[in-house]
Amino acid sequence: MITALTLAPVLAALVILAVPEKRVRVVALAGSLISLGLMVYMLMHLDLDAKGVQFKEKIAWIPGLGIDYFVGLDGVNALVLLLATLLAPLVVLASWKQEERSRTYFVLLCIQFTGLFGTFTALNFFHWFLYWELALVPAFFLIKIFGSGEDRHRAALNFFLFTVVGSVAMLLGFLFLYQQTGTFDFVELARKGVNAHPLIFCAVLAGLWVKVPLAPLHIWQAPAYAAAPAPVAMLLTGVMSKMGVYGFLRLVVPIFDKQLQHYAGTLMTLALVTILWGAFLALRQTDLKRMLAFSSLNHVAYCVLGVGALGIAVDGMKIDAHELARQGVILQMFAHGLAAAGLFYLVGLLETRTGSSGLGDFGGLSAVTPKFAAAFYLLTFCSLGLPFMAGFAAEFLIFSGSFAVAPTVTVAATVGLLATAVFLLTMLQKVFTGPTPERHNNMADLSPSEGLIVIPLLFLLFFAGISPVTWLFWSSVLN
Amino acid sequence: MDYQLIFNALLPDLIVVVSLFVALGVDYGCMRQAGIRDRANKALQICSLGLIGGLVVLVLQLNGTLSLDYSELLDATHGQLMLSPSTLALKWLLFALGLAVLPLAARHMVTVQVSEYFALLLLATLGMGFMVTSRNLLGAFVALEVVSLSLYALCALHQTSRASAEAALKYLTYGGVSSAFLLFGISYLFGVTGELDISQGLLMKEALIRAPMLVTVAYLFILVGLGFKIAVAPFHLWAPDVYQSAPTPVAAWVASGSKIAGVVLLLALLKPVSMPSGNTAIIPMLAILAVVSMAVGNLGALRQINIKRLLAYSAIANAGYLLVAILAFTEEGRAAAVYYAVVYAVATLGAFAVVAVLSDRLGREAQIDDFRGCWKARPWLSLALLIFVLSLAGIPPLAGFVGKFYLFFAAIQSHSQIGHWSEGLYWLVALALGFSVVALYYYLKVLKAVFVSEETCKLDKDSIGWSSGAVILILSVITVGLGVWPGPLIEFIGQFLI
Repeated sequence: MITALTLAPVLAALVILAVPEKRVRVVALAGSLISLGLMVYMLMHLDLDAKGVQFKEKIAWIPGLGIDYFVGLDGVNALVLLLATLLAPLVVLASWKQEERSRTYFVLLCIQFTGLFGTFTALNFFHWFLYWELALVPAFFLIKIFGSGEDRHRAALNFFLFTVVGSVAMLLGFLFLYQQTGTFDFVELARKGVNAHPLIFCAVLAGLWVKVPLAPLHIWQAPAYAAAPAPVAMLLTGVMSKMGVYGFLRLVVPIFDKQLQHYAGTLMTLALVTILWGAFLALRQTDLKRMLAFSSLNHVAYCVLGVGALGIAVDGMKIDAHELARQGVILQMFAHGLAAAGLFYLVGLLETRTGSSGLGDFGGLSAVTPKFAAAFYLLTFCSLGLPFMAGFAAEFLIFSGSFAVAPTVTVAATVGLLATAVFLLTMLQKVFTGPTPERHNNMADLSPSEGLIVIPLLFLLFFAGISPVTWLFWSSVLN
Repeated sequence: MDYQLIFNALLPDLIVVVSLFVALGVDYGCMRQAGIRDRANKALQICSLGLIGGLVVLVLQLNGTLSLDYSELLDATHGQLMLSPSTLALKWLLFALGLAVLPLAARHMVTVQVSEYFALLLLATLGMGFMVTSRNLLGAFVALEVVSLSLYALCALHQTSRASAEAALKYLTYGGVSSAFLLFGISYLFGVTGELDISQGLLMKEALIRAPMLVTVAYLFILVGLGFKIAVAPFHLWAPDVYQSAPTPVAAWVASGSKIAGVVLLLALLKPVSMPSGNTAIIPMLAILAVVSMAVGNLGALRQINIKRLLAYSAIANAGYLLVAILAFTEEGRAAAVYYAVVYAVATLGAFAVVAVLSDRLGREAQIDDFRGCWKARPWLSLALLIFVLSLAGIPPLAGFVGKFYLFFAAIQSHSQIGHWSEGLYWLVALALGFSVVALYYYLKVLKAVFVSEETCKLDKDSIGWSSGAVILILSVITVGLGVWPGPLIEFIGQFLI
């Protein structure tokens, strides 16, 4: 089942190579909808009493090296896989107007989906790494071929090389782990527990560090997000940045629990630095896409703050701070994935309509395009963490969890929240209020087909904000 | 001596030899007046038939239909013919790759010596077959010389090109010197053991205890000699020129076939000393060669603008990775080296094949920039090139990724406990991984030219012919297949590679 979910997009990619050019979108959409359908089916048929991994598939793959093909669904990956499968069809819909080299475009997009789904379901290091790297190649070409701006070549190359450097460090770490434990199986590794050298922990951390990203290895991020075409930026910020956080939850928390305890303070400090750095850099940006990129940097770092809190002991507390933080991290991945994807989509629309994305190029758009403005406002408020929206619920959980164990860092991180509010509100003010420049007077409002992409996102964000329990059901029940 | 046995054992080679002479005879006898195209096609048909016949007999030998008494054969020939499942499979692979080179050679004839071209290709293939099956120092040397001499001549076949002649001369001089080194090393080994047959390895162990210094010197010379053949830095100076200026199919054959054969021979020669007590002096030598090769290959490739030269530097870098696996001195390491050599050979042969069919009629050496915008005119060939180049770069899910993974895996596994970073091969693997990131840069440069540029491609738009097309298709299917499903081959190598 999970294999089918993972491979459906890549099969669609093969079909795309065969069908006429005008049908390619439909095939890509069908592939991603099959994945979504399978995901929903699996969530409905989970066995809630069972412990451990469900929908397991375990086949000896390379017996000579002790490598199994092992996939499964559990509390850690259920919600983030749902996010990925939800965003995939929306990304295809968002790229519906891609005319130029559309065959190449959709093939790359489908391969990327497979890479992402595979990363979220793999439970053996070998093919987890395989998908992890596989997701990079199409992203590189998507930015490079279809991106905008002269800077895109550099951005794509930096993005690729930075991530690969991190990945090879991680590979080195896992080869070492295998040498000590004799297995690549995540579940097995977590059970055995490892007693690795700090350098090994650092090597594994490096891979995730670049991917999340955390400061100071984030410098590839803003150029890549700014250069990528809007649907690809949706995918990069919505799903790909979650790969890193998911990696923390899947690898660092269960396998390196001792090391995490030891370095939790450092990790939280790094997360804090990233939160503040991201927020203050976002304040200074004059380009909407870059601003959103730094906002994304800042929001994803909250997740890492939560992960760090998991490493600090909670003896003698009345609340289960670890559980709060963990649920918060999982919900934050979901909430940020949806909100950031929506914002990048809207900024992309703005850019295609006006040809510019500078903060100073707009003004008073709420009068011209009320629906567009409403959607933009709502998504921004979710990013801000306004109550009744998913962002609030998630950040609340993370902060209450981490405050219980590390009050100083958490208080310092709230400064980041404030700065986030400042730059996001400034953005809204500059783009949507004030006098409308002459040239934007007849800008088109959000069309129904565009609404088709934004409305599900908003619906889910409200749903998850009002009733987070529904969405945290799997992560709380299955563990 | 049982001649029936030897006849059975050598039947594949005999068939190839016969086809070689038939090809020469037909070309000289009845085709003198025909055009070059017809002569090339005829020679291609005859030689392909010969190789296919050889492949069929090899399969019969492999599955036991043509039963052979391996141990008796080994004794009777003093180790010159070690036909085990692993060596037979390697020989099969080399014949199959040789078969893949022939249509590329036929597609664009650079010389009027049509049948000689094919005869020399077959001769090189035969020599490689003997290289992998021989466990006799002298036998292996003769086989290596057969390969080398054929390749020297093949390099010079581009008659109108001065560069081709220059490259061939370079290849000949460097190769001759390296052969001398190799022979010198072999003579030392013979001197200390009194035995040319290295299949047993017992004498070597005694010799190591008796005269360790002499064995070390012998291996130093052997490493220099074989290092030339598989393009290990600092003995790589011939490689870029030869790869660039030789006819592309020949360069492909130098890069793939002779690399596999050379690595297998190196493994066979090192096997007697691959034990903890025996390799103390050899490990640092090999480690230095590995580091220098990876550095020279990867850094040198960064600045190349000629695609074949770039592949040459990539070959040097890959020789360095191979040495990392060889350095493990474990069964696992040997298996990983063979696996890597095979996937490397397939991918590099594929890359050369695409370059050959696209640019051989360009009239000059193909630059990377010549491939700009290639995806528009030749989408399928571009896709194949993408697969081969990404496999060389080690990107999943292609064979090169599994190859690299296995190689580094084996290198780290070779030491049971690693306490410090400088112990074991940990530092070497870290370095190799670092260099493989550097390598991404130049591989991506090629792909960028092919896929990203919007220009119209100036390259050959002729049909590539079904045989070349089939070769490229099969090689790309193998590259993907060995990446997605490497289990069986790894099992096979692990099981039979002794």
